[in-house]
Amino acid sequence: MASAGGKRNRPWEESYSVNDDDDDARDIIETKWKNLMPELLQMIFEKVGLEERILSLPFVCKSWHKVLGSPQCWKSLNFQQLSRFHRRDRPNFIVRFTRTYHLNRPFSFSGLLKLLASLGGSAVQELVFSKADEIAADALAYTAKMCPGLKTLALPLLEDDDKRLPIIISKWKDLECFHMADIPWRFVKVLEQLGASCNTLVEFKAEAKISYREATAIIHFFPEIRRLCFYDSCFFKEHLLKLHQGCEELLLLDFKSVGKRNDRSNYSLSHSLWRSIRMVVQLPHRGTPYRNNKC
Amino acid sequence: MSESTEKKMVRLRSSDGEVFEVEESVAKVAKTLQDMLEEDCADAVIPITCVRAPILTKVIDYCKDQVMISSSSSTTNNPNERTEQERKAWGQKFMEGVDSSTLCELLVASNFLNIEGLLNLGVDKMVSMIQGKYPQEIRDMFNVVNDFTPEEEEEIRNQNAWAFERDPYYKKRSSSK
Repeated sequence: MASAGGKRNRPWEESYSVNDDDDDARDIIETKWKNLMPELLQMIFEKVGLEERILSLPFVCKSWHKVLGSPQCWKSLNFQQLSRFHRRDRPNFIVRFTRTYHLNRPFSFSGLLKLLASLGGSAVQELVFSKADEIAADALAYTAKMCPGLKTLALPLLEDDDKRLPIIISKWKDLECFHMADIPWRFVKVLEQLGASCNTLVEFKAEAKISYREATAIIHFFPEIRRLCFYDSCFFKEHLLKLHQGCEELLLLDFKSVGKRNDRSNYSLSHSLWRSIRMVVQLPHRGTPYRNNKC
Repeated sequence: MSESTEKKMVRLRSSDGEVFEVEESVAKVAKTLQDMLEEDCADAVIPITCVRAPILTKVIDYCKDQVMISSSSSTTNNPNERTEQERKAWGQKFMEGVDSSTLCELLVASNFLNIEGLLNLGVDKMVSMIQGKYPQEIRDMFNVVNDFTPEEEEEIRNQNAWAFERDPYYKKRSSSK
């Protein structure tokens, strides 16, 4: 009988190392990986970055490819995980994708979105774009149809201000976090439509100038919002107060700005008022996807 | 330390026949064992058929630490954040020397024994190993053999083209140039 710990000195390291050139050992290791349960693999693949999930994992072996067929592996679609620049000997994502999948047509993020939306279907919970990704309204409409279960949505800059935008976005009824890179022309309409169908929204972030009228529209349609983040926006003191009073559930009102314009002094807010707002503010805050690639 | 009565011991037998004696509280970190112990199959040695001795040692190390953490945090009022940080650092250290074959066995063991924390540590470790790698690098690392025939691989490579056909957005942009 051996007691655990004690004088046993890291036996797992000496007894079984991959560097062993022993053929038997290799065989055992190989079958071990093959027999790793699909549920476990799925759990792992779910967390692997989008780039590796698309370009590397499917080609490793048959069983891995099969596991990737499960929609659960595509719960999170974060386009910020795709490399945009060449790094030493590694080409960027677009080049690699075009080569890997023998694409004889121009690559587009809209096409990629359609592909991923069909893979993940209703299992997709998180869709985060990089600010400059060009996404066509058609592809977005297709995604809304295929993936109605979205909880986090971070839209890129939308070039053509499509009439359908309010209707498309209102399809996501379970949305909890909604981030926008810019404020579209039909912004209030978007809020109105979304407000009518979705009552789960707790976080709104805009990384663009937002007017007081638009800010009040958010509070009007989503009185239960908890986290409001406006980057690059300026408000008058009275307006800020009204926003603060307008929603009871507010836990975070964030004005972190790109420039220094939103410095407390520039708002000419009294110190105590600023503190009272910042105080309501303390809740673990996941950070904005536009600035932080880690999330 | 919290219990004044003598500690109840549990015996576990690994797949290669080695028997480990651990405190009941340590064994109970594993939900599977907790369920078994609560159903009271006490005296006998519990066989853990799919876990080899070196792996079981590592698993027990983990469980011991969990017991230590929970007992120390209840006595001293540490702020939550610090223990969280410490836990993270400890987890990283715990997984540091683990090679890919041990990692595989650890994943299977923690899944079988239902130890969520250890399973998460293993999953995170494996994710970090895969990140940024090409298929061949992944195969080398985990000793996986490419079992695709060239035809099958070709099929995978060609199956995604549909999404990029006739993209109206692209057309519009290129024609407007």
